[in-house]
Amino acid sequence: MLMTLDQDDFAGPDFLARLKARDSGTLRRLVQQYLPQLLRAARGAGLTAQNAEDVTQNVFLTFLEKLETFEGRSHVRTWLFGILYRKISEMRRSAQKEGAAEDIDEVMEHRFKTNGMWQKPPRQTDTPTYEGEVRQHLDDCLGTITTDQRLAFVLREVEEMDTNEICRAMGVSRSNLGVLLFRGRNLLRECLEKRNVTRD
Amino acid sequence: MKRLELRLHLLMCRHCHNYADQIKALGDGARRLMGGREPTRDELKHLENEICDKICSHGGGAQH
Repeated sequence: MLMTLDQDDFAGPDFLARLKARDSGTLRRLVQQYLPQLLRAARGAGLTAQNAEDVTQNVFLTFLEKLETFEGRSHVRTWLFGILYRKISEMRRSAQKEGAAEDIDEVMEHRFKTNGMWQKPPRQTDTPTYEGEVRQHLDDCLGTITTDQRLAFVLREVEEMDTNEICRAMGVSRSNLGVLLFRGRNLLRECLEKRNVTRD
Repeated sequence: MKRLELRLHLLMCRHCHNYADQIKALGDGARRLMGGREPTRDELKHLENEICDKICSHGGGAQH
């Protein structure tokens, strides 16, 4: 049976000690707890089902290899997602040309006039219809944003991780994460608008 | 205080209100989309066993 425990059960010194002792029951509980989340995030980052499974397996293997260096200063989940992020980045680096990070001022200036008004105001949505259509087109639109933007979006919106945890996992500052999320969400929103997934 | 200012702004500004609605719907849509792609219980169990077997062989602990 899949055991779901509270996050706190995976944060104590006893848990860490059992992990470092390679206690098989503890390792299995760790896999049971975080495998579904890691798999979902890997799929959400754009990997195929097979690649997502491979990457997730590698995350746990790397976790075990590096376990001695884990001091428990961050939550074990953060560490696992950090490994996942690096694995996905490595995988994508050679396969896809990623856009350079944008400065937040550049991002804002592009969408707002000097008087602070929207350059192109967002259209009104019929929320239930919009949500349904979002699901139809989101996959394609997710393909238009960078892996970093996509992973930040998935960790925040799907995994509902908080800012500090995402920053630690992805190794970015709060302002960088803000830009990644703002830019990613805007590109997704604009991609959906181009597909007329809004109602005037 | 900033959150209160933001909420007031969202109540008063139609464009930003629409923007916030779209962003919220994006998140909800993504959760439903990706939630609907969860691997089956059997697939998950299979993968879990595969990982646990490898981890245990690396770690040297007994399993099952």
